[in-house]
Amino acid sequence: MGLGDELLTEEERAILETVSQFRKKELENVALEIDETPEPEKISDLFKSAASIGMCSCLSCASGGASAGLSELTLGLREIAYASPGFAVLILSHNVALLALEHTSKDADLGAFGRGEKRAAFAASILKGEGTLEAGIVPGGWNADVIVFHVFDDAFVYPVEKTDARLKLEKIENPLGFRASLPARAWLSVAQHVEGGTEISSEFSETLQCALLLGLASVASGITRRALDVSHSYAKERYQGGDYIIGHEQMRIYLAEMALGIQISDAAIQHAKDVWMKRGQALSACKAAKCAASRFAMSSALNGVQIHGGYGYMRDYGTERLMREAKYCQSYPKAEQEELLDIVGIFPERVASQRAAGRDLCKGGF
Amino acid sequence: MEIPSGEIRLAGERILSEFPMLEHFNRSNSKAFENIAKTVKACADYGRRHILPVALRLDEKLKDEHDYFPWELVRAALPYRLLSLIIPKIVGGQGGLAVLFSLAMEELCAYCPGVGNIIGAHALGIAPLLVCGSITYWEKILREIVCEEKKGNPVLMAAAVTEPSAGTDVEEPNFLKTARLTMSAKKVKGGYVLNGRKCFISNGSVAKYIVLCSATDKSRPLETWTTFIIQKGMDGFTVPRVEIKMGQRVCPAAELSFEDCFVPEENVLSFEGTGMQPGTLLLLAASRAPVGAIATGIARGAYEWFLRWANKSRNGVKPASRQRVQMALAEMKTRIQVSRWTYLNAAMSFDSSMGRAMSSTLLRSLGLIPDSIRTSEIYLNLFNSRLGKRVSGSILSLYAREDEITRALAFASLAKAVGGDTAMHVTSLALEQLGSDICEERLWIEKAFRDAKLTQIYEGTNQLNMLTLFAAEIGKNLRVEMGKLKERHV
Ligand SMILES: Cc1cc2nc3c(=O)[nH]c(=O)nc-3n(C[C@H](O)[C@H](O)[C@H](O)COP(=O)(O)OP(=O)(O)OC[C@H]3O[C@@H](n4cnc5c(N)ncnc54)[C@H](O)[C@@H]3O)c2cc1C
Repeated sequence: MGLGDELLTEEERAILETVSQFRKKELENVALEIDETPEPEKISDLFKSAASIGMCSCLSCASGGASAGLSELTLGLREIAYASPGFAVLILSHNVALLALEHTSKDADLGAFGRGEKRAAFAASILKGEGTLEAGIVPGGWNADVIVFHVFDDAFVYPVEKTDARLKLEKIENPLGFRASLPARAWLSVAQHVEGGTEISSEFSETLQCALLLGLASVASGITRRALDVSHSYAKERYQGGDYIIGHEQMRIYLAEMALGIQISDAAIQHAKDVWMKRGQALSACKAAKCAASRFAMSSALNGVQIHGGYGYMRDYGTERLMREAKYCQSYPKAEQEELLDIVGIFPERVASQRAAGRDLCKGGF
Repeated sequence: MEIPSGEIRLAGERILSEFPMLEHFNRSNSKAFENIAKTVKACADYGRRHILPVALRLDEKLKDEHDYFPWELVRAALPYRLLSLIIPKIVGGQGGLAVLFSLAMEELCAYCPGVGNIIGAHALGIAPLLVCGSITYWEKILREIVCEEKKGNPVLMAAAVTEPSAGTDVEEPNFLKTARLTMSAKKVKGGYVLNGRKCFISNGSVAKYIVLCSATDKSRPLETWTTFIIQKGMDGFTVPRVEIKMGQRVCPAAELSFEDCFVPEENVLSFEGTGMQPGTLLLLAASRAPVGAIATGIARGAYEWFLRWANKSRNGVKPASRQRVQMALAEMKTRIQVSRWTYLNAAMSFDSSMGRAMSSTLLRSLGLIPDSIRTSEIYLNLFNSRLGKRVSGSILSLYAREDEITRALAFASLAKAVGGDTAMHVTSLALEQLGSDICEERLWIEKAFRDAKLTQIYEGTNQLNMLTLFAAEIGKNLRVEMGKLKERHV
């Protein structure tokens, strides 16, 4: 339980507690290592452990995982990101892809994905070239069993097995962030536009986007929380300028800005969740939450490094990692400015439309 | 992904014509300007030919082999005379001052700030010998650097101020008073015995000579802060570790350990107790503008790569045709210009005070004395004697007036902070604009983003630089006490 968690429900507290146990027992001690040298086997083991607490089927109804849905996604990812934002994004990518798979392949048995025996990755395609879909960064793409391509606002999703000849994957070596997600660059050749694609409604396309953005906002919130906690502890221990540095106003202002960031991010995430549950159409709110939370994650991580002085720049202290991860949170799946432009673009619609409240997330059709 | 090889042309040569302030400088001192232009071009050539083809590969290699040092790359810098840029002409150097050196730093760091920092940290080691007027060591060390440079053997220097428990504290006189130091230099017969550790020292593991500050009495650190010259291989001096850093990996940041390390009396620069006032403050007045330039170079490098990306077609559309990208490019350009203006302003301010001393007739006339005399024991001992130190200290304080050098320190601190923030902002903005596009430009911009953060930390954190600006320029409670160079009674 941390800052801003006062209003959590019993159920949400239970989710947080479960994931927190996983984080402390299994993730914290390997977080630096999986960022530095992400071994696929190690990540697979962690993935299975995460599956055992329901984190690999958060949004799923059919696969038998825990289905507290959005709360699990947001609180769980936040908690995992507190230790390893990269691993949290791997889990997120899997969950969004699984949601798409469930929606599009209704009869298939997808239980293995929920149990962590198989992995899916979501390829948010930014580019649609001549007969090719391209996704720059696919978290979890390297080593996933299935990759689900989707161009937002398009009417199709394209699930492909990793053995599919139309799929080309390239491992992203030493990316700035999301290393523990084993990211890949991916191309899918689609000779004809709809080949291999499954038609979806625009509402479901929006659902996928909302899930991804809300998840990213939660990862960002985890980064901000980590930045605050480690910086606060350090500031209480480091003596400089005739005082512990927490005694210097500038340092306290940085810490307070992080605390502010947590509260605003959480409020934005909660708002997006509420809108989603009540009105069904939450894209603008999810984009806003993602932009706000990732901006705060970025500034908090930068100030966190700054508070640590030279030590913050060194790998062993773990703060520089937050800065790299936050930057990827900010610019994935697309440029922050594009998200902002989208918010403007969809804003009038959002005001105008009054959709039915409380649609079932699992059906995905808002 | 294929690592891009040197086909990109950075805008190095352009900055001279792009910047009206330099044109003005050209009119008033065309010889100095010519020298500057030559140096910038040399740096651009070195950058294109030698740094660009290897920078990314080296950065990647150093991620795993963090104590590897690219001696070949340093050797390749020798024909360009990059190790003697700020060494006075009377001992064979290029005689550059802060303006020349800053522009050189910007140029090198547009290619790779890690390589730039090797040259920068080397100059940081040289600077105390200059600003303290240590004529003896000009002859002993600086001459050696120049001679070896000509022979193709790099002799590197470093400056060691930071201690594990004191970073900000050892860069500001008021904070030094309450610093909890771990390192000490105890006076013994014929010299001092050093014990303790220094940390994060750039070039610390590869330098032959290290200029090091330590208190001779930890209960009175400000009054007894003293500058020593340490030579690699001295008994009791070891380098236990090289740090694993986020960026600027090519330049090693080392921990230095001293266990009963004896340093002879003659290795004290200026007098005991002048290490902070004016020693470290003079050093910072000299070095912070170049650090602002390092940061500007990082921003410029990122900008150039980003511009290249923006002009490449993606599915028939050039990102540069989008207004958001145009605005981002314009913002980057603006910040880079502002940042360059602040560092040049600071460097000019330094050059017009300390530079006057360095190029004074008195100091230059030493160059007329035949080499055989200037390298003789008598000459070297004379300038390292109490009288010799007093004379050179007097010359410096005669030309470099306290109020001018204090103002130069304020401007330099401003330039360093502005530069650091610019580097961070520009690299960050470029990455934001790229979104998830994985492309070769991205590799350089991501590296620049990692490299940039350091410029907000070293040479005093940006917060300290702001506090120094306040104290020296606004609050008026910090002065660089030049008079203390004439003698100090501890
Ligand atoms: C890669 C690298 C290379 C370096 N190279 C060299 C080198 O060659 N030689 C050398 O001597 N040093 C070097 N340094 C050290 C560098 O100069 C210090 O890291 C820097 O001065 C900050 O000191 P610190 O790391 O101890 O941070 P601290 O001084 O511990 O600062 C921690 C935080 O507290 C803040 N703070 C401290 N005091 C105050 C105050 N009074 N008021 C408000 N805020 C305050 C700081 O701004 C910072 O945010 C290097 C550092 C790095 C990381």
